[in-house]
Amino acid sequence: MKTVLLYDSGDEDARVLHQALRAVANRAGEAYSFDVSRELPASCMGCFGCWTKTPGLCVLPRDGGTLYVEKSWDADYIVTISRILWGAFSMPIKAYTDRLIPTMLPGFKRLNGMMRHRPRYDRIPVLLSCGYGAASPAEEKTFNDFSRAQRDQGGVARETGSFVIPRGASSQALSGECAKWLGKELAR
Amino acid sequence: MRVAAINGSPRGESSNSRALIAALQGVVGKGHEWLIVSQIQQERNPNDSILDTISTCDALVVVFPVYMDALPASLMRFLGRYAARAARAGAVRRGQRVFAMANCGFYEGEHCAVSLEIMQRYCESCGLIWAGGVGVGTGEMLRQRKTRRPESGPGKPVHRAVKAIANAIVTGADAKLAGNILTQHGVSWSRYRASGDREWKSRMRANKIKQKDALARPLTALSKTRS
Repeated sequence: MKTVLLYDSGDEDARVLHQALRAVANRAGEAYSFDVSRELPASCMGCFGCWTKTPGLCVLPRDGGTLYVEKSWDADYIVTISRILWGAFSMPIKAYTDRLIPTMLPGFKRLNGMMRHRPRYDRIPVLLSCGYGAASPAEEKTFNDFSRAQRDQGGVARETGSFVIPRGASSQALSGECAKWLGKELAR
Repeated sequence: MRVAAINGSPRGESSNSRALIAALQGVVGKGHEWLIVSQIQQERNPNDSILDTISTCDALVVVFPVYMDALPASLMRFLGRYAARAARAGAVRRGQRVFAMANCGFYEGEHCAVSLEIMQRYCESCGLIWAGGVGVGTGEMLRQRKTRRPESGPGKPVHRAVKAIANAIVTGADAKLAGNILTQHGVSWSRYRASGDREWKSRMRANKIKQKDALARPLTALSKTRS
């Protein structure tokens, strides 16, 4: 089993949570961590060049976004550890996740009653999310909705696929609980 | 009424989001002043004067394509700057109404629901008034459908949604949508898919990409090289 963890080491909470989750991923099999603080990649331009010009490869100059796709396309799980911003991932994390488009095909299919893209490779990694630092309970709810919607792309709704450190709680204190959550998800 | 519209598509002027803004302008009609910020990809570090000008408008409309079920990272950066300015200097006027219009290439408008929820959270975080949003599926039809009568034919559901936002904008300072509207053009699922497939193939042909190459798995070869 291969697990890729995406996190921002410039953030203390993310470092603490990453340490706990990486240990779980190591026990489950092959694990690779991707630290977004190293580089802010170019944003996806929505040009679809990765579908219509260089199929499967982003047309942007090689950067951290390219490397992220190369490391994660064959993962069984991608675990994103992010500060919650407006109920979604933080901007640097989102800059990376937007770059996953080359792993999809332009063609459509129906999945769970909704239109989706076909995967370019045999499967889409299951996208799990761990969020912290929400500004309100509403942001926590939106984060769970966002995380579930992303998993829906692969047809894996999995209600338990996101873990939120509640507002005001310490990431350090809950890192053990968070690790237990990931252990259960990887064992499913 | 002074209305600011942010085109959140990295494709700028040639985007479906820009077409939605044009449709909104058409429905709102004359007698209103518009500020359109369309090249946010180039505005990686927007100067404060743009943010200041946006902040003086009565209503702000954020129009964007849905990327991975949320706002594109480049739009998040831009909106973050706007929010930071509000927090730093109280420069953004309290009470500015914010509408959103999301669009996606999938058929169902429901794909835009979470991104509108995120826009609502954004407004709550920086003291702006969330006034509701529209999510449009079949987004690739927005630029294709040039018609003199958008209120009839396949564009009717989308026109109705755009009109709802236009009415709320011009009605008055407190007007909002009763709720988010999720819709798509009036075409069948299978027809839209077939049309999409034709469009992709046409674009690939223009780039001299053969059908078998379109399904290439270049990263598989990369991992074999490594091992």
